[in-house]
Amino acid sequence: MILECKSIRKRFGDHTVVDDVSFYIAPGETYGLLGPNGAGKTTTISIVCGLLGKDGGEVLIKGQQMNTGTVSLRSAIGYVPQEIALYPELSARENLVFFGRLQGFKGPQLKRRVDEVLDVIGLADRADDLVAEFSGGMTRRLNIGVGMTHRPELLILDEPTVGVDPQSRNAILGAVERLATEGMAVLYTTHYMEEAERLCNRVGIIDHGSVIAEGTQRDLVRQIGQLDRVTIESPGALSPLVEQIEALTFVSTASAKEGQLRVLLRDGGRNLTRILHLFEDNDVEVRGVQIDVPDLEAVFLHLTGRALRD
Amino acid sequence: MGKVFSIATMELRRWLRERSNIFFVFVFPILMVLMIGLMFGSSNLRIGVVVEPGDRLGPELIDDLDRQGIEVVAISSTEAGVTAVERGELEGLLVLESSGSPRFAARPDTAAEIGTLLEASLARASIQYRVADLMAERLELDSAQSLTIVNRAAAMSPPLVTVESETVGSALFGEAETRFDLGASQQLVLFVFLTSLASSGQLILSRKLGVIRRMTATPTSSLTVLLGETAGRYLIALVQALFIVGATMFLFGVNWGSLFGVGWIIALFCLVGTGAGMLLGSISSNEEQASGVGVMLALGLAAPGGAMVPAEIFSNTMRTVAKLTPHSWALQGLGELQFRGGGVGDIMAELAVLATFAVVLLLAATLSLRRNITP
Repeated sequence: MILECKSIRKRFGDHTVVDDVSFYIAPGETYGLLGPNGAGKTTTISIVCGLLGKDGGEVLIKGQQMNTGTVSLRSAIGYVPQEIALYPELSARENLVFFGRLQGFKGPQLKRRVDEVLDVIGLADRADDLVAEFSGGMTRRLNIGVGMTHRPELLILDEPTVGVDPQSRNAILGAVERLATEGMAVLYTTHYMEEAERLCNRVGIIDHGSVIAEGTQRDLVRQIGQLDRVTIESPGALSPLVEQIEALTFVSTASAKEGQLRVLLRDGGRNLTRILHLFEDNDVEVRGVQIDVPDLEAVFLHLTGRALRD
Repeated sequence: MGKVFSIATMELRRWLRERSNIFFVFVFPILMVLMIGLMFGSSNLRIGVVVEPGDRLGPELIDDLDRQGIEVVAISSTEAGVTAVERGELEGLLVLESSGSPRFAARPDTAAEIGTLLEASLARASIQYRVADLMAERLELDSAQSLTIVNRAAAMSPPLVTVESETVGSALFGEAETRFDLGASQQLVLFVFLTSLASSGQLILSRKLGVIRRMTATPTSSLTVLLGETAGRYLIALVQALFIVGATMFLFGVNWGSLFGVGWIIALFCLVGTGAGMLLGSISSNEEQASGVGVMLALGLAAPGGAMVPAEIFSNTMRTVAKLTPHSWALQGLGELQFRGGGVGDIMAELAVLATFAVVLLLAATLSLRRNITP
């Protein structure tokens, strides 16, 4: 394992912010910590990076204990904080060179790595411009670039897309996907469930400092027993169809209202054609079809009774 | 050490990127030295003298002017001399011709002073010629013979009065070589401290942006980050100090005395400034607060420390208060080197006090900042 967190705990005064959190990340895996603001994601990451002491449990990086005083293991980690931790008075290249030096790179090797990173984050043509002149999206990309200058084995990104436009967000997610494809393990915290769904092999749902569920998206959905929902729009008579559809073994319920037939069923994508056959057999016109698969938002809602962004 | 150097040079680079810093570090101090020098400084008069062939007054006149502490500059032609006066390079010009009366040139604001001075000098230098000419005329002697007699008589005359003088105590102000000497040392102390405190804003910004925290997420120890940040601020103070010393030497011919001694004072005073800047940067919550407190502290310590007006004119009570500021000790040391020809051996007390200030401030700053950096 590249990272193992075992029962880590952290208290600030009387308030427990991280409570018995355990998870692991295998090499090449992208793991998401999904939770609302204040759930304990950043504190967990700070403990993992050795930036914050813990009150209990252990963090193992490549099997070795990681503590606040452990400096050598930090070269295995690329840390991308939530805030833009860059020098605005310096250029993109100067920022990369500076942090590259702190990672122990120098000379032609450092220059080559900086050029590579500038290419990956799409800032090669603005390399010598001051960060102060960059847009929000560009600074976010550079913020990520600084974290991966030394080609870490584990890249830790703390809400890297907060406050960026959709285009930059897409570029950031694309870059993370590429890094994961190249074999870099990624720990990604977010409160955007669509990002977790797109990037992560496994997700840990964290709330009030505890991981309340963990697994792949499908595992999590299965855990809460949620069904897919199919909505079919039609100008025809839908009521006669409801009884026939409810008779299908994979259907839980069906109802017709205001030109829409709503069906709760298992494996909506696969079983939809059998429902559509019934429309055809009864000569009822279909004008639109929509399938809603239960997502992590639904899982979170089910587990906590709150929406992710509450 | 490589990482400490990287952090330090990056801090200096950030500092120099700020345009307002360029003005306050490189332009403003020099303007202040210039203004203070022009307003309050005293200077030896420089008189240009053009001596045409055949003139007999030249040597005596130059001797007389020299005895009065006036710098006499030999000028090749009247035109060149007039130009030098117009440019302010000379306070006056005296033209001694073989025939006709001596002439002088000066700017309108100094014409009366220079005129009186030269007339008195000319009268003293020419008196033996006048007596010789009178003797030659009345006794029908050869002019050369008369002059020889007058010179022999002057040489035989016993001094009428012998005046003996004794200097008691030390001069209130040392002997400055140029009008800019005092202002230069005051501005050096004032601006090094001011710049050091102002650089605390940079430290606060680094903390606020999370860059320092990010540095500690790399394989870089907290101690290295701390040393790098300290070295960065020291470098900034050092650049400020060396620039003022170099520029005032080059532009105004300021005499700093023993440069080795000045180097020691700068090295320690920059450490004092660094400690103060680091402490301010570690305890202030934002740049605005640090900037306000920094300026107040820098000026509030400079005034009683003698960096605005010379401490020599303070009352005894104020002189005692001044000793509580590092500025006072730095200026005392610089004064010893500049005006009394002292060396490092003569400023050991000042260096020891500055070193104590530096150690105390750096220690306090380190402890305070370590709380911010260390997880």
